[in-house]
Amino acid sequence: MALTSPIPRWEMVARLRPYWTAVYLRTWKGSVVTSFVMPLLYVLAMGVLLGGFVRGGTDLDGAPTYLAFVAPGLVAAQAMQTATGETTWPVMGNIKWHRSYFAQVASPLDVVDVVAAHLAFVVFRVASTSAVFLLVMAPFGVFSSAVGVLLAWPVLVLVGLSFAGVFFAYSATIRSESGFAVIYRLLVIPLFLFSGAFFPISNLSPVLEWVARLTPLWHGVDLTRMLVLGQVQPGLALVHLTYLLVLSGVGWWLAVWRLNVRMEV
Amino acid sequence: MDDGGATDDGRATSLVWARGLRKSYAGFEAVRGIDLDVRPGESFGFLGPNGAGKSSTMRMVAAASAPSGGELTILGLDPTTHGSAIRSRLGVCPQEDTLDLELNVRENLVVYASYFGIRKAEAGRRADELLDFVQLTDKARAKVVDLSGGMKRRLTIARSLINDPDLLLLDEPTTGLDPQARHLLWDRLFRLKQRGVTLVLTTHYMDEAEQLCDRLVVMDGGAIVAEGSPLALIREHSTREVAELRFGVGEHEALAERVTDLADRVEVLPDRLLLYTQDGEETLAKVHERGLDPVAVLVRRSTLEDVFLRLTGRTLVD
Amino acid sequence: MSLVTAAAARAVAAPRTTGWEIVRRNFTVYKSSWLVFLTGFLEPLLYLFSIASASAR
Repeated sequence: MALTSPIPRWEMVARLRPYWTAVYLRTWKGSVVTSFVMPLLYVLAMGVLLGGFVRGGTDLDGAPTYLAFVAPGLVAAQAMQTATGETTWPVMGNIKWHRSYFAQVASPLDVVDVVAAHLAFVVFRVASTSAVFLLVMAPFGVFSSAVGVLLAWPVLVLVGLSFAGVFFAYSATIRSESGFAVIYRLLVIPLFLFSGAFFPISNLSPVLEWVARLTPLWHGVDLTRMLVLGQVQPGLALVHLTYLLVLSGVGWWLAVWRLNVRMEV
Repeated sequence: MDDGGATDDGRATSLVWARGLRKSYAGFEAVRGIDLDVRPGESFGFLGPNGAGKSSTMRMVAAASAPSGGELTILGLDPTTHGSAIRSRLGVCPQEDTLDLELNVRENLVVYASYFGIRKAEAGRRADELLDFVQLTDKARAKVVDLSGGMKRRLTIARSLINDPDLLLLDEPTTGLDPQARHLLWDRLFRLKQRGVTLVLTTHYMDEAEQLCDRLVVMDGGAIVAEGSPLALIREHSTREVAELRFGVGEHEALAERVTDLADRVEVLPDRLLLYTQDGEETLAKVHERGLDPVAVLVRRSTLEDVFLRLTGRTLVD
Repeated sequence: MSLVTAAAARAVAAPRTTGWEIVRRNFTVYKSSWLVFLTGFLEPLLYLFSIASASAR
C-alpha cells in the first residue's frame, strides 16, 4: 500500500527544483541590481577613482595597483552579501509569512531536503553573481592568472556557503525581523569593511588584526586574492580552505538542527 | 471497536491507529493519551473547542510532529521511521494557508506536485482535473493573493489531492468562511467521501461534524470525552429536543429553579436557559402555563453542541 | 434626532489630539528593540574607522 523502498536523498532534494526555479524567475531582476550593479559601482568608486589617490609603493599584499587589490576583495565580499541576503529574509519569510517550508514538509520531503535545496539555490546565486563579476573585471587587467580566476570561482561559492548555513540557522531561530538589522550592522558590515577587502588588515592594530584573521571573510578575501594574483602560499591557502569547509559543514548542521526545531512547533 | 488493547487485530486494517497517544510542548501537555482507530472509507472527525488538542493530534497523524508518548501507526507504518513514505500517501489541508501567494493558482498545484515526484506533464493534467473538481478552472491563472478566503480553501483542498491520497486530513476546513463557501466546501468533501476517500477532519463547528462525519470523537483538554456516530452521541448524551428560553439579562439563574421539574435536564447559560426534553413544544406550553414570559423562545433538536455541553459543562465556541 | 445632536455635542467637546499620540504609540512599539536603534549609531562610526584604517601607514 505505502512506499517503503527508500528514495535517494539527492532525488528528494531535486524535487524542489520547480519551486526554486519559480522563485528565481520572479526575483532575478531585483538581484541584478544588488548582486551586479552595486559591486560594480564599488569597484569603480574604490578601485578606479579612490585608487588613483593611493600612492604607488604602498604595501598592498602583493597587488600591483589598488584596483587589483580591491577587486578580489570585493568579489569575495559580494559572495558574503549574496549568501546573507538569500538566507535571512527569505528563510524567515518561508517560515513566518509565506509558510512555504510548511507546505514542503507536509509532502514526503524532510527538513534535510528543504535545507539542502535552499542552500543549493544559494550556491547557484553566488556562483552566477561571482561569475558575472569575474567576467566583468577581467578586461580591467587586474587578474594575473587565468587558472587562478577559474579556481577562485568555486572558492567564492565556498565563501558564500560558509555564511549561508550559519545565517540560515540564525534566521530559523529568531522570531522577529529586527534581529536581521542587528547582525547586519554588528557582523556583516564590520566584516565587509575590515576583512582586507579595502585595505590590508596589517593596517589595523595587532589585536584587531588577529581578530580579523579569525573571521570567515578574511579567509575568503585572502584566498581569492592569492589565486587571482597568482601568488598562492600553499600553507596559508590550505588553512583558508579548511576554515571555509569546516564553517560550511558546521553551518549546514546548525541549519538542519534549528529548522527541525522550528518546524516542530 | 477494540478496547483496552487486549486484541490489536484491528490495527492491521486501520488507517490511523493510536493507543495512549501523547504530545507535550515545553511542559504543557496538549494531548493526554488518546486512542484512535480510523477505518478505511469512513469520515472521521475530531470535535472540540480551541485548545482541545485537535491540531496537535492532526500534526502527529500527518507525520509532521513526533509523538511524545504512546503508539501511533499510520497506513500501517511507524511515523518516526517512515514519515516520508506515509506523507507520500497523505493529503493535508492545514488550518493556516500555506499557499504560495506569488504563484498563480495552477502553478501552486504543479509546484506542489513536484514535491511528490510527479512529472510536470502528469502534474498539469491532474491540476486541471482538480481545478475543475473544486470549481476554480476560470481562476487558473489568477494570483493566489487575489482570491477570496473560500477560494483559497478550495485551492488548498485541490492541492491536498494532487497525489491521489489514501487518507485526507483536514484541520478546521471551514473556519472563517461565509455560509455559502462552507456549503460548497462540504459538498466537495461529500463527493470525495462518495468516491471512497477516507477523511479525517477537526472542527469546532457542530453542524460540520454532523454533516460530514460518520464517526467522531469529542475532545476536550487533550483527552477524548466521548466517541461514536453523531446520532448515537446525541441519543446517548442528550434528549431528543431542546427548548431555549431567553429572559432579561441576569435573570436566568434565578428562573432556572422554577422550571427544573418541567424537563429532563436544565442548563443555565449566561444568555439563555436550555430545557432538555422529549417534546419541546409541550414543555414550552407548560412554561407559559407557569406564568413565565420569555423574551424569545426556540424549540430545536439536540445537537452535538448539547452533547459537548453535557460532557464538559462548556460550549464548543467560548 | 436628539441622539444625533447629543453625539455631535460629544464629538465637538472631545479632547483635541495633536499627533503626539502616534509618536507615543511608536515609542511603545519600538522600545523593546532598543538594540536595533543602538546599532544604527554604530554604522557611520564603522565606516569612518574603516577609512581611517585604510589611510593609515
